[in-house]
Amino acid sequence: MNKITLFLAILTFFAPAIVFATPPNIGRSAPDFTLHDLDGKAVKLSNYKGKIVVLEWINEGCPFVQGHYQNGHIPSMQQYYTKMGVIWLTINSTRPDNPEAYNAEKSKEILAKWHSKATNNLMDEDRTVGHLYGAKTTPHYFIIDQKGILRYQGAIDDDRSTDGGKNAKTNYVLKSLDTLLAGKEIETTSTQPYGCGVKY
Amino acid sequence: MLRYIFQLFLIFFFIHLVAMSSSAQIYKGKPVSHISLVCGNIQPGKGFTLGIRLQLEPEWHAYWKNPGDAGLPMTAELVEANGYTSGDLRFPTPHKYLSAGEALYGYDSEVVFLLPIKAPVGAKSAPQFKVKLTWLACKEVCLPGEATLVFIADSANANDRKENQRILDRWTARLPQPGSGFNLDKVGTTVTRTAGKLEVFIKFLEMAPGTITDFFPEVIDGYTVDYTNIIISDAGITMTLTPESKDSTLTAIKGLVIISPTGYEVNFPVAEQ
Repeated sequence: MNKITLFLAILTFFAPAIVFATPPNIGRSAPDFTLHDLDGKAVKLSNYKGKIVVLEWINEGCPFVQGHYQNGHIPSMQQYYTKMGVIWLTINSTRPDNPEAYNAEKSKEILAKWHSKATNNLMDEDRTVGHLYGAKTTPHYFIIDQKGILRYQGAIDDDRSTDGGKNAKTNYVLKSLDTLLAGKEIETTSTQPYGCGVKY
Repeated sequence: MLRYIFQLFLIFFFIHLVAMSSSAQIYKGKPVSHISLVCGNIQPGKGFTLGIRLQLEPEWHAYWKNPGDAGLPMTAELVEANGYTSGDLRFPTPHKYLSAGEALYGYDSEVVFLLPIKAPVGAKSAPQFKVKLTWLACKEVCLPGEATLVFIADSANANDRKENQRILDRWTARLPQPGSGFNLDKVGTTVTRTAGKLEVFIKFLEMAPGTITDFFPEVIDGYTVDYTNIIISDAGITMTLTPESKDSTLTAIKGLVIISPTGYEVNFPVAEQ
């Protein structure tokens, strides 16, 4: 076996691992994962079965995320819905060598300054969970019901700007959570997310 | 005679280039982009095209009207317009950028967006207004840009006029062309629903295989688009859409068919069988 053949054989073997996964379908089980939070503690998604879970992809350096946090829009939603029993997890899949990648201490400092009220903040440094869910932008939302079924994926609202939802007519995340908490079926299950690209 | 001289004076006065402001976007002390207004000859009381010139530093890019998986398009709005109004901003044919599971549509190095300006009825004085601009420039990070540029028509030398008109002509030539005259409206479409998603196949009935190099869709109301999975084959275009809700109804797909390097505007009627 010459070197080129060997290289192709290795590439073929590892190909499934490097191809971007297809995002999970609405109405199917949300893929399970374990990530570490900013204190290094392991957090497993399936441990929250029985609760509604929001997965929110963030990057503190992204102006779209900043817009929604700095005006208190997201923190107020986090505060309200976590009091209603919703689990709100932020996930950061930024490549560690990106200029917008912050270490755990810096992330804690920024999120505290923004008065984030998320249940927990998770680091996805090897980006596997970002790819597993097909997260495209920051922010990008996935809402999972009490049975672990994915019920919504997409944008926070229809204000496709860095203005933090100031001109939004519909807040999809808020509407989806209210609908799920009322035990009803979500009408708009998928929207095109907007924001910065996830810095994989 | 006096009237004739006065008319000549007016024409001379209004044929001008332009004094206007510009703005630079800075990141960590280094320039990211530079934005300015470009205008050629203006006839008194007539509409004209204003160019919005965005010059980007290497590796930075800005976005088409549909940015794709991430980003934001340029917006332009006249303020303190003195009766002048603007039409829809016109976007030159963009490039596609593929990276890390994302497809983006936009521009690098330089782009000139074209804004049609309509003069108020009976306008006699030189156009003067402000243009409020917003855009996003991204590289490894994204920076929102915002500037309000002053446009004051002013006299200028013939060389500047010529150069600005040359810039406008070059970017006007990069605007998408109508697809109807290029057999791009002769299509057959099929829609297949699988696992809640729609696979749309657009077959060109009168195009030689290999002619079409890509397709850049506009935003499709009521559907999300998998921009990384738009497949161009000899047979046609295949794309996957996800309905936003059970009420989503697909009637048409607008966008640019790319026959490299030109974009052709198309509006395919599409219906789920």
